[in-house]
Amino acid sequence: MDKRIKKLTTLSMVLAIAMVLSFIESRMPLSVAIPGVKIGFANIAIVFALYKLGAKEAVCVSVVRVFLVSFLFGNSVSLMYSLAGATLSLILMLVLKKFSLFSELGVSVTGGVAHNIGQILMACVILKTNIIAYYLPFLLLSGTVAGVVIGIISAILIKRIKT
Amino acid sequence: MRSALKNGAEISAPYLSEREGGRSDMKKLNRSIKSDLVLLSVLLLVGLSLLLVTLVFRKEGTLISIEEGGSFVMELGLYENGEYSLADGKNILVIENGEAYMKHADCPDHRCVKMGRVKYRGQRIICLPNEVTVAVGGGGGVDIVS
Repeated sequence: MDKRIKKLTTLSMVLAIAMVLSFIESRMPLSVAIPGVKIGFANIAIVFALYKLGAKEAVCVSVVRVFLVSFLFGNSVSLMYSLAGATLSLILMLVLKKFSLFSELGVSVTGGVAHNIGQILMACVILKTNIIAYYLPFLLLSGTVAGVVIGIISAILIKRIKT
Repeated sequence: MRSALKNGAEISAPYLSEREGGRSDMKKLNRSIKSDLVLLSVLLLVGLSLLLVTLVFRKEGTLISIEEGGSFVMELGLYENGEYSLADGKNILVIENGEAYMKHADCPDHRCVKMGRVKYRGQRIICLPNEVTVAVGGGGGVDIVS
C-alpha cells in the first residue's frame, strides 16, 4: 500500500477519535466550577499520536482538533482557551519526550497540568485579572490526577495498537 | 506501579509500552518510572501545600468588586444584601449576609453559578463567556491569596 495514503488514513482516524473524545467531554455533566479544569480525554489521542506517529503528526492532530471542535461545539472565546491550553501542553510534552526522562505517564501528566495552566493564563489575558494565583493549587492537583488516568490509558493503547 | 518498583528489573506495569532490547533498555525504563513518580509527588505536594496555605491564611472579605470585560464596574459591600444585574442582565449576582453568589447566567455551562458562594478575600466568581469577574476584597492587611 502507498505509505502516504496509510499515513493520511491513520492521521485522520486519530483526529476523528480526538474529536469524538472532545465531544464526549463537552457532554459530560461533571464540569467542575473552576475555569480550565478538564479531564482532557482528547489528550489520549494526542499522546498516542506523539508516540506512535511522531511530533509533527501530533502537532497537526492537536491544532486541527482545536479548530474543528471550537467551530463545531464552541465559539471564538472557547477557541482562544483551547488554543492556549493545547499549545502550552504540546510544547511541554514535545520537550519532555525529546529528553526521554519520563515515560508516557510523566509526559501525559505534564500535558494535563500544562493544558489547565495554559487555559487559565489565557483567562488572565482576556479578563485582565490575576486569577492564576488563586486557582493554581486546584489546577495542579486536578491536572495531575487527570494526567495519570490519561497517561495510563494512552500507554496501554500505545502498547497494544499497531500502526 | 508499586510491584513494578519492588521487582526491580522485572517491570511489567500494564501501562508501560514494550521496548525491545536488553538490560540497558530495562534500566532506562526503570529510571523513567522513577522520574515519573518524582514528578507526580512534586506536583501533588506543591498543589496540596498551596491549597493548605490558602486554606489556613484565608480571611473573610468586606467588599465585592465587579469587573466586566477587564474594566472596573462597581464595588459593593458584602453586607449590602440584594440582587444585582451584571453584563446587561446576562448574570445576576446575589449578595447575602457577607456571602456572594451568582444566581443566574445565560451561558450554557453555568460554571459561575456552580462556583457557589464566596466570602474569603481573593475568591472570585468568574463567568468566562460573559467576561464578568466578581472578586472579594477588603478586610485590611495584606492580601495573601491574590
